[in-house]
Amino acid sequence: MKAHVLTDAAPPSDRFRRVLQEELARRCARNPRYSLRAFARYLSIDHSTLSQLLRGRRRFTSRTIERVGKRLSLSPDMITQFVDREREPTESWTSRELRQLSRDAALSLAEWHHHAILELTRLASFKPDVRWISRVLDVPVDDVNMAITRLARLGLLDMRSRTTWVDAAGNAEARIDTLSVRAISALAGRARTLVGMQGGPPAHYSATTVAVKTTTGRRIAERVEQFRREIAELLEREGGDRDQVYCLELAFFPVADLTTTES
Amino acid sequence: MGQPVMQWQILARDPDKLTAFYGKLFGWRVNADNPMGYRMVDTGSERGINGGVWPIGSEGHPLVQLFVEVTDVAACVAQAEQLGGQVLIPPQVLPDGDELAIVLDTEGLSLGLMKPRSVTV
Repeated sequence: MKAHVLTDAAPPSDRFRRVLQEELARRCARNPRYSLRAFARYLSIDHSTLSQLLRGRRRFTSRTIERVGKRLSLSPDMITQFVDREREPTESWTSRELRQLSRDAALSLAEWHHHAILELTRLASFKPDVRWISRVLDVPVDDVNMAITRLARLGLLDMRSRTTWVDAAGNAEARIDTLSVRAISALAGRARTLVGMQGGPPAHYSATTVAVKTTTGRRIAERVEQFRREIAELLEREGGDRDQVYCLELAFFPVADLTTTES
Repeated sequence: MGQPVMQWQILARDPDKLTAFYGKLFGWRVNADNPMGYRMVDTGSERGINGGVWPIGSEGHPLVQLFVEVTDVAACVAQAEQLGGQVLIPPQVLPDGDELAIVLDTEGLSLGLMKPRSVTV
């Protein structure tokens, strides 16, 4: 889901993971050379552990939140809130969107081709050849090389051998959450080129704007969230060789700001 | 045996403009026909070392890096960290088989550690 137009009053970082993601993003924005390893050293955490925590593949313990929270100079009250919230079994769909936004910020990867490169590595037909990647994605060679540099620096891409590149960016559910608004806009252009091509791979692209009751909106959001989980499970169960990279976009968000009281 | 500097690399915001400049100034030749599309620069001399140009985008910071040949990239990266350096890019194996990592020295200068595929320990 890509609900970037939010009217929820929830704080922007109601989960500790987002705090770390945003802090990493700020440091990367200040210093383009800043790396995940440098952040891990600052926090006194093993870098692979930090990578798993940021990608949602590992849960925070209370001790970790307390230790890291102090390192980031968070107040004791805020640390306590994060410890309590991390114990909650489920997230609301709006907080999931916030998590996605901060993940985007943490990755500092607004261009869609970063994610596409990672997904390409999962294809049986993948070639560790920048010229091939450039042609398949229709992205200039230099842009592919810059993306590879960023991905390697952030520990998201592992060029393990001359024939094997590994996407280290997360499980299927995390991968569904990875696109930013800018990336989506760029992919819309790509969709116009590829969707509907005669003899092309199966594709679907549709959108509508509807007026609904808020209660109906919540039910629809729950159905979309359920669908998102089902897709994630399907991706996790998928076996065999992969032979195509798709963009999966789930979007359901209000387009009218009805909170203003101005006449 | 020593740890020689094997290559220089220029990180450039506009690689094509840069290579055109050096091509006209020094007669250096560029060849990007390799799996990374990497602009390898041949100075045309048997003396000195050759180099390459890597893209960094319009917002990057141009600089020159040196690439030092090592026999064990991972071990050298670990040693660099112990000595006060930082890892920028952990060891990666390039499509041509060369192994490469980028670290920062104590001045914050980036440095390439490379083990060519032809090197045997």
